[in-house]
Amino acid sequence: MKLYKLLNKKHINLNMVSTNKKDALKELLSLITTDEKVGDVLLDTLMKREEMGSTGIGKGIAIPHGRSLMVNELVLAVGRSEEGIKYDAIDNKPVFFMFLIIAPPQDPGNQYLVTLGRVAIICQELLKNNQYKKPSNPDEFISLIQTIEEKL
Amino acid sequence: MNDVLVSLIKLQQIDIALDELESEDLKSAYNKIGFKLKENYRDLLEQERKSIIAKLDKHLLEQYEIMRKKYKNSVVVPVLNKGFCGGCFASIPSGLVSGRGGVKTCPNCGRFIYYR
Repeated sequence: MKLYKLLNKKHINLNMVSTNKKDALKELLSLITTDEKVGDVLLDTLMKREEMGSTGIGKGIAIPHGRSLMVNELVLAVGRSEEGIKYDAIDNKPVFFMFLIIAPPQDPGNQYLVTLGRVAIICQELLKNNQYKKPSNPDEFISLIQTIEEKL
Repeated sequence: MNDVLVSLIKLQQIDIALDELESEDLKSAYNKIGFKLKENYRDLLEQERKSIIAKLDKHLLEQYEIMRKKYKNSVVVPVLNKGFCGGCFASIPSGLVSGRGGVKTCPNCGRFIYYR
């Protein structure tokens, strides 16, 4: 499974402006849907997941995720913030990089969990030498993920 | 999409989450990544479930619970692109979902249906 093949450049925002968790999730969801009701249900799903334990895994990375009836297939979105997002992460530090994963209730081969694991590995690689800060546009970001995956 | 349908969708999402959070596959993935769930995570979901149920019509809820026993986590399903039920794949009459009224069900299997 190659993550870069699942990425859509329209779902990548490398200049996020939000400074808190809820706004940041909204900002990422706005890349995925323009339907207000769909966006509200997705936000609700993600915020419920956050209430059960933060998806901010430390070192500036967050991987918000959940299953929702609002998507037909696995959807990814990526966000990067220069200023940092107050996220209630496990190390209490701000989040600078977010990888959002939303999957439908049933997905073939449990792609959701496979992707979640893959994203976590890629995020660790992106942290090395602050690689996640280097891309200046979505195309460069997808190329970086491809390069990382080819080396793994 | 009306508010009742949104509540049914949220209810099913909570039921899916309650099931999945108990699965060994998810627990294993979470352990590897380092996600930590609060000890009372299940209570938080149960509370949310109760608050959604409180707003739902009693008969609709009964219908949901009966179908949940039969279809598990596939009670509320989308109408697929060509107008088929996302649960049983029977053809949905075109006037059904677009017509006026409350929450619609598949005439074949009885599942709640929605367009996305």
